[in-house]
Amino acid sequence: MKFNILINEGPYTHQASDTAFQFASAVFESGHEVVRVFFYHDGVHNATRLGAPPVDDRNVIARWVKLAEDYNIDMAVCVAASLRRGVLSDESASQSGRAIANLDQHFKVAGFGHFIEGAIIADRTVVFGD
Amino acid sequence: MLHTVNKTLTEKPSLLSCLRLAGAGSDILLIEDAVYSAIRGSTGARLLEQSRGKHQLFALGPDLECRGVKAAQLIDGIEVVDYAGFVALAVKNDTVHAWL
Amino acid sequence: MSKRMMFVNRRAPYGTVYGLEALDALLAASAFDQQLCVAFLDDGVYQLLRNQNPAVLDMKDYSRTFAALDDFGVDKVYVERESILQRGLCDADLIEIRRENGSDAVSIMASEDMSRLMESQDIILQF
Repeated sequence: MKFNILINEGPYTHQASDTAFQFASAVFESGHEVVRVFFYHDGVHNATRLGAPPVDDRNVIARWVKLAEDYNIDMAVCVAASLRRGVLSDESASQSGRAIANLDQHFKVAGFGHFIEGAIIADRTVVFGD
Repeated sequence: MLHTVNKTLTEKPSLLSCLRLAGAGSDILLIEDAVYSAIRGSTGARLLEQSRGKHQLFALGPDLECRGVKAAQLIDGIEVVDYAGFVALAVKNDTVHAWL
Repeated sequence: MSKRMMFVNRRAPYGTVYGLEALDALLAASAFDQQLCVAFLDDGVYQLLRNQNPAVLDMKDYSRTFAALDDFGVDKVYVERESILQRGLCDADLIEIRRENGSDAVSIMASEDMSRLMESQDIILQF
């Protein structure tokens, strides 16, 4: 079965991204697959490459990147939500005249329609927020 | 339909709204802080006890363990599941409805 | 085959961004030829109050866009009556949302009817 996941909160402040990660891992362990993870609202902060959590805590972003690499998951941040919050790809940084891009290269930037498309092709859509 | 709730009743009314609007025969899974609502004697637990005939109730085990809540403290009729159980519930139900 | 998707607003506007971004999401979804509807319950009904003036705080008045939902192919707006009454409000306090043909796009309904409507959806997104 194909799963489409929406994450609406950033890392650390809320448990949403942790719960979604544990759920996504269990999806693969159960013989199903997560085809897409879409990050909306403050969820776009899960895609920053600049986070530097203390060594005795989990690295939420690195964990998503590893899972996406292991299972070839399509991970995307909402374009409008990420621009508003300053989570920028190289392309959006240069387009908005910002000197720094902070989007991790494993995430793409897409419209919310990318999530809706995921909801159409997947068997289940599961939302994690607060 | 599988309904997920992630907050205690004392923080947010999501559990109340979920119990009001979830159709008969729905599965309700308590995750994150909502697992506290299953502790016997709590305000949330009293509502959950009243809904046991209408809904199938579940609580996410890792969230209970993380918070130091033992299964023995929970009201009767709540099944504790792990993440694989969460996935199985999501597979079994056509729609997963997160109350945020 | 198109899916039945419901966008559920349960939070008040302005205090958090969820209502505004829920509307952005709904408009983006309207391009996909799915069976869309939008519901307001709990504090979400505050989003529909008349006379909002967020300009006073330099915030965006997205409630005006609700009146144009039909232009985006969203012609079903459901509001839970209990949520309105619990907040000391009445139907007349809410903005009107009309379809292009003049008919009322808003159905104010009892919890049981909202429940049945929710149960009939393929996808439910809460904001």
